[in-house]
Amino acid sequence: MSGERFRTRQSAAASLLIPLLLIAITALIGANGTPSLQDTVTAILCNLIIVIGLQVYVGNSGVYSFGQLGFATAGAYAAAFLTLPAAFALLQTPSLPHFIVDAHLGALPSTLIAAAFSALLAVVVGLPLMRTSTLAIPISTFAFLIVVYDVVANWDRVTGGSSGLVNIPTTTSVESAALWAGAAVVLALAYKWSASGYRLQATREDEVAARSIGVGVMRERLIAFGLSGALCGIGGALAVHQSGVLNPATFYFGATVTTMTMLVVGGARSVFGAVIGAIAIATVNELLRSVENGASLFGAISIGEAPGLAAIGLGLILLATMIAMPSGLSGGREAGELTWLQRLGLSAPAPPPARGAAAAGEPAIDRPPGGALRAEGISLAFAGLRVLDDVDLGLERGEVLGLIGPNGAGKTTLVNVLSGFQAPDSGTVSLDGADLIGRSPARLAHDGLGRTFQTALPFPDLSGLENVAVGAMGMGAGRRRALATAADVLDRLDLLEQARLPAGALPAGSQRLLGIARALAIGPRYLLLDEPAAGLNEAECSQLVTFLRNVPNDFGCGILLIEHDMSIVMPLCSRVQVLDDGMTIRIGTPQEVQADPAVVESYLGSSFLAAVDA
Amino acid sequence: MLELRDVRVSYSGIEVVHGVDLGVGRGEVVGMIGPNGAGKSSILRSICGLAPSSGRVTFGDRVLTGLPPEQIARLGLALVPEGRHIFKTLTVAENLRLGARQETEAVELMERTLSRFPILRERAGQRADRLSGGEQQQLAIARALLGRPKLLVLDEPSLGLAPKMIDVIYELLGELREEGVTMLLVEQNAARTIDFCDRCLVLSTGRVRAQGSRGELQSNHDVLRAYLGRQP
Repeated sequence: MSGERFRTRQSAAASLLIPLLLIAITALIGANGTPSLQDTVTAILCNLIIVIGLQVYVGNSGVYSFGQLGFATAGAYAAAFLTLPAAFALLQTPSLPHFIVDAHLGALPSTLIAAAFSALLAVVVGLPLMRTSTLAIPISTFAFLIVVYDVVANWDRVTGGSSGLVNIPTTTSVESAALWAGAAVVLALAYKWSASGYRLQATREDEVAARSIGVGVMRERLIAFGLSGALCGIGGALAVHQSGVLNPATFYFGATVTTMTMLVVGGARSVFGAVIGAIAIATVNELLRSVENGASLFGAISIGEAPGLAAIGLGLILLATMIAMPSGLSGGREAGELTWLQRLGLSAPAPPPARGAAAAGEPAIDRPPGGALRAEGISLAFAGLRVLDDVDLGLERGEVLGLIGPNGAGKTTLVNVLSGFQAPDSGTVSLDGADLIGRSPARLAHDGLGRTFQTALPFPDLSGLENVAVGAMGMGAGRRRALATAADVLDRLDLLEQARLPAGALPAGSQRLLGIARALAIGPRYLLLDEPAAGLNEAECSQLVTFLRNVPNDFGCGILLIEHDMSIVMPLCSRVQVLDDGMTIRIGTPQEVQADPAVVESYLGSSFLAAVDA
Repeated sequence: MLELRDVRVSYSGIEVVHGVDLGVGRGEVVGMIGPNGAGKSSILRSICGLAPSSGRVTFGDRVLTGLPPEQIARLGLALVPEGRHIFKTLTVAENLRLGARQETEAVELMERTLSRFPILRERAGQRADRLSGGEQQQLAIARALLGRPKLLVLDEPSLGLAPKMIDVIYELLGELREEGVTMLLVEQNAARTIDFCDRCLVLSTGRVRAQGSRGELQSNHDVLRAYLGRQP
């Protein structure tokens, strides 16, 4: 089963061990330093956990959240309440419930409870927020950050108000912070490489395509939001047990900007990026601050106090990184994916999956054999313009139905209606007798409707293999099974070798075939193909015909085929339906349709007839 | 007019075009054909400054290599990209106006262009994404023409079009050819492209495998079979 991996064992190990090594080195430097250096390093490591928490959500979803520090605040207050000595608690937080005051927990249980509390808060807050659009989430999470601040700053008798809390036990050491940071790296990578993590990354790469393979965008975002909340809570809890003091502004605007800068400079898409960004920026920040306070550089040049130097320096670093390295220092890659590391032989690129490694014919999803797909009386108008006018369509199990017609006839719109991307004004769609109208695209993918798009819509940053495997993962398949399915489908399309590369680097025609493979990986009952042959030459078209001819048998699904190339439509389809101006003008065998004067007039054109005659 | 010398294109360290030479003379129509992944689109993108490349691209007496895309466009090299890339939420008329280089000459030029594309005149007030695929392709070509290009670069102008609409588009391109517009185009349909162009290059896996005039290629069955998979 060696071929059924996204990455080699070496590469995965490097991706895991190199960040851990960086954390260990940082911790060692701190542990052997002066007490003040120890404090600084411990604080850096606590902050690192928060940055990893940010990465889990922002990096995998591609959506910026400015509210994660609110969860650090929540975790910090929770941990402080649970550990505050009774005498100080009475003084500072008189209205705090007794069972919390009396808890007097140790470092570990208080951190764990803080993590759970932050995660719960993240899920509760995320439930409504994750429903908002990709553009609204940064704003709504920012609002959440402000709300958290206002609550803790004004709820004087519980939180100590704006003066904050003091005399919190300082239990976090360099070692414990490093251990937690290591655990955060492991957790973040495990999530990123899980089926759920891949589903979320698919939504980052292309939301529409992700929905078409059954990924519930809101659900996946919520999972990462919760996990991110837990990590931020841990970071906050450890930080408060390092400094011993806490006030509402500890994790507010300043910390939000700093941690976001660390993530962006390091490269948001990788955990490695979060680690190097956090360590690098924190180091530069400390150096700048010591200069700011009037230190001498190399003992030679003495610089007077330069207030604001650290802020200006950080701003310039962020700006320079955004211009020179838009994907961050790590290039958005994990340590094991770095090419220079692979050149050194410390890591290896993923080999193409072995031929035949897949259990051929074993679908990722077992579906009971279903009945026909039917659309009846579908009508739809855009701004008064009739696009579909009382269209019927029926597709039997295992049948290949062609859908042709002039550009603008409504073919793609009809597929959008069938796959749930567009609600019709009237009419019904049913599968095996069940009404499908009103179901989301993701739900319809689970019902067995797979589709491709007129443009290929690949997940450009994921490899070809990952692109297809995510299709099976969208259906809930585990990693191993998803990979087997993906390798099998790609092998049949002769795409295995190319599938190692990021999909964005593949030529347009291959991206298109990848889209078909991805749709097949969900194990569809019906496959809706929107111009699969566009961008392929004659030889590739005939290969595609050979492949598609076997699809009903190999994958047990019917095909609805939109295509302008008659050399594809004619040999594949048992029936062809012709749309013109939103209406069905003809249904028949390929021969009948080709000979129909109305079809020739509106669609095929006289030069087609001439070519057929010749 | 356009001259490529040893052009190489690589994406993230992987070279996909390995040293291609290409020349297009004034008034000439040159086509590029070849299988998926041959590097046709990459070459077009490198000419227009959209892909990182090495080698030398000259246009008239200007060196294009290293210039940003918008500056290359201002020199009179217009790309009609694959997938059309019209401004979807703007109206047809707004799309066209954005194609014109100077507002002053736009009115007269727009009039001339619209008479060539009657369907666009009919739909001038409509949002561009409400047009059919064929109409959008016409809009993309019309928008490119409004910039008074010296060279029109077309990436798969027939992609996703109904057979009849392909005839319409090629009839239009034929008219432009008669008027002496210089064109460089990439297409999948080898037979049509060889027939339409004065000269064609056959590419595969990033190299020029053959080139010749219409007559030369149509009689070269080896080329057709080996690189285009066509039976003689």
